[in-house]
Amino acid sequence: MSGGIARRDLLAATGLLPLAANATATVESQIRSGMPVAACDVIDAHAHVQEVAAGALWPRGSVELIEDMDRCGIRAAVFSHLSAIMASTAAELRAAHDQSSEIVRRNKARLRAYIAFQPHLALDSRKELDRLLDPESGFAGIKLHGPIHRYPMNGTAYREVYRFAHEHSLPVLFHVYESGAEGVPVLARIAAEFPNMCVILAHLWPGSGPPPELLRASPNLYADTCASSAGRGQIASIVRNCGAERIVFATDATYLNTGGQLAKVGLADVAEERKRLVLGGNALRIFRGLPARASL
Amino acid sequence: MPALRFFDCDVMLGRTLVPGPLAIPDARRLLQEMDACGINACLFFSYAASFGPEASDRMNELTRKAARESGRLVPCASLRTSPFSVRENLADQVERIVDGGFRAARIVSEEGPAGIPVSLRLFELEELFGRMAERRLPLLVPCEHLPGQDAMLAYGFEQIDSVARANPELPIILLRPRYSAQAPVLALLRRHKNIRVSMTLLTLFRQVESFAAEAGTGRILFGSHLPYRDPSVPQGSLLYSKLGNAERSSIAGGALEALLEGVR
Repeated sequence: MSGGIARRDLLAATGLLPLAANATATVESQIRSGMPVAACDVIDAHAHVQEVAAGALWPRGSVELIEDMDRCGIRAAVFSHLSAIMASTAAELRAAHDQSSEIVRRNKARLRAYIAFQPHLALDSRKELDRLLDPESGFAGIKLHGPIHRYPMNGTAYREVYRFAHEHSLPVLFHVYESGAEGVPVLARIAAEFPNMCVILAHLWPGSGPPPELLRASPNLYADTCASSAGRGQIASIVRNCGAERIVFATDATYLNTGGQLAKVGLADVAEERKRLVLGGNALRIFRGLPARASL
Repeated sequence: MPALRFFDCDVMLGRTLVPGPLAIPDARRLLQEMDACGINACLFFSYAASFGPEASDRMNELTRKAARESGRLVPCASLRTSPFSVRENLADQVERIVDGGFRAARIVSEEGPAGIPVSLRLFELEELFGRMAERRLPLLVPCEHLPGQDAMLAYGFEQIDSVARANPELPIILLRPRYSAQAPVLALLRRHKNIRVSMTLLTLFRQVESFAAEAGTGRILFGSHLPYRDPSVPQGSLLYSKLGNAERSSIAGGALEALLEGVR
């Protein structure tokens, strides 16, 4: 076949086809035995880094992130720099993004980065967004953390981000955990207003899961899976109610533990094909320019 | 990597007053749940909503009955922390608990706004804890509330510190300390060798490894908090930890098994 995509390649690209190696093993069997997941592509849509001194009780560096990805079988991750989220000056913001870029350069086959938009540094943050237009920059999306910045979802600075993301068809990862029940409907309306932007609700949803009717009504709205704890059967229930194609695997590492976040999805009572969509297939559709499998 | 045998230190059977969606009503259902989750054995108690301190007796009867269904179900008593009858000595329950086949005892809070907050005040419970220490009967203490304001009403870190200091032979298991309570929990672990923690909510990046490095793997225990929480999160944290096989086995169940064997 020339000039087109073979069906097998298409399925593989969406994570629906098991990889050749360990093709007979299921995600669950590999996790139960503590092996790196090789049954499908695993893509982490929500990771973090922050270089801290050796010996830290809570290491958060890129080396540790990659080590954990290797142990778990996570092929690629998209991270935001914690120092970018916490930047209170333009220089800090730029430095954190420079470091993000450098980390991606060193780990091109495994990592991509988010631009963290700090709404209280709106002009400087807006300039930082332009890094996303350079395909070699290593940036693949935008991270918004409204609760930590105490900034409204519909605020002027954020609307500039939505316009940019819409214009360039970019994903926006939005931390919604503390936004309360009223937060997601607001974001759903914003997603409808900017249909080319893909919005990922970070940390599922406070409570049992995102409202299925909102996800169903908003084709560009997704929810990621990371949260410090999971109710019994929570992931299976969310996938059943919202549809596997709307849920995106995420660890929140190096904030949260990698293996626990992988296991809660991988061991969920969800059909293997759906699990593969959640673990990687959906992210491969959402993020442009993720490292190809062949680059490993 | 050899398969880990999970011995869960934190499981509840039975229905609460306000029904939870995933309550485990009986032993048969609990065993099915354990099979589905890859859990070999559990230290469990049967909850029964009831008014007054005699609730513990009812819970313990139900727990004993459920434990008869399988050797995989290891009974944990509900500890009475306030007297029911005139001139009752709370310490006397320890013999009944141990002789009744229970391998540990836990604090169980009363449900509802009228429920009296549980206290671990030494002037109230000194003899009880002393007797438990003599029998090496582990005391399980739920700790999720500790970083918040509820600790002002019930027990807080200070009371746990006092109990551990007064009873160095009393094994104390802190159930579900939140990751945000890392600093005080680490301080307690450094200060008291008789304190252990369940890893249920130690969900920060490499937190299990850090705690193991601080306290030794013998003091970190696998706990799921079934039926409320999914065991997969602590299981995955352990399966993919940087720890060696022996350390993982210890946390998965070896340390709890050894601790319960010490009851005399």
